[in-house]
Amino acid sequence: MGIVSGAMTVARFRVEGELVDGWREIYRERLQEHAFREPPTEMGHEEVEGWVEVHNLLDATFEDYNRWLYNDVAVFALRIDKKRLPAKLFKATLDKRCQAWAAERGIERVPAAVRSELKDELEQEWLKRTLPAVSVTEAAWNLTGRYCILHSLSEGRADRFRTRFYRTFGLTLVPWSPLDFVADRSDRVDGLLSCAPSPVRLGGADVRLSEGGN
Amino acid sequence: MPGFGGPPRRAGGVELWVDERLAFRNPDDTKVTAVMTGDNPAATLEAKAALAGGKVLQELRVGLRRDDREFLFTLKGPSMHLQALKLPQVVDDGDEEILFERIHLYDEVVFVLGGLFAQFAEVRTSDAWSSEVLPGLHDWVLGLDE
Repeated sequence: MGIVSGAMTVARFRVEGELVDGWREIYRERLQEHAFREPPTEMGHEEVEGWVEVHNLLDATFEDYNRWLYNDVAVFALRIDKKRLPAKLFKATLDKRCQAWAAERGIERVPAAVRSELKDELEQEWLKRTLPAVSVTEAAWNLTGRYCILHSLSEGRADRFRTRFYRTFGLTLVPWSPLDFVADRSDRVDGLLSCAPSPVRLGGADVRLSEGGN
Repeated sequence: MPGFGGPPRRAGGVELWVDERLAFRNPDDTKVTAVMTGDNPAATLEAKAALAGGKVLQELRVGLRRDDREFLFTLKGPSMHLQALKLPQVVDDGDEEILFERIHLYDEVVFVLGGLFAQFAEVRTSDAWSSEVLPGLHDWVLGLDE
């Protein structure tokens, strides 16, 4: 569900900055440079992110223009992988290992340093056999229309996307505002900005509408 | 206007209606505090009461018909994000064609919204807002327009 199919839920951004000459080839190289790369299996808790093609999150070569560039609209996705361990099960297992360690030595409590060491060992062991949680956020960038839409309304996801977009293309994404609809009429923009809201409010025996700023 | 370059275009006639969901919030918060669903929620007493209680719209489910194409979407928050936008299926064959068409249809929705917002901006910044529109809203809330 997203830009490619299903219902769309999108945040819109203006793209600020100039396109480079020969952007078709250059932006493909940039996408390839910042593409998602499979991390080694012993990947830890750290997040790994990069661009992938929208049709299959395992494709990140951007070799075939037909898979990601539609006239002047580039469609790609930000993939973020993160491994998470089941916290309760992890704690319970760690407690058992600590108990076993103490029993072996005939002592009651495990020193903090040993517990920490056992925790690291268990974490490494489990992370190796845990598959990452994968999130994919699709985007469509209309290069000549100078806008980009992101299939997410999460501010955190938008920040990640904007940062990577800037690092990849050297262009800034500015959150779009409805005022952009009337950007060519500065008097309208100023007029709207100076308008106080006109909430309906109860006043006396009947309902009154406040008059607002204009 | 970004995304709206080139010569001015006319949207022509469009049909617009409030679909099956309205959500209100308090002006100083983003959390939804009142939701109306079902047929024609904009005409319910609850919607009028929410306005009369000082609440403002946070989510508005809208239907839009232009020529033979019908769109449904929710406008969310002051940024008017498009949420759960359902596009008409104009093309049903070929990945490339479908994607290209979807972007084109998205642009069409934004284009129409741009026209509507420009019209709103014109009214909102004119004297007619105080002399005609606000009294009209007042009458609507009180049920005096029926």
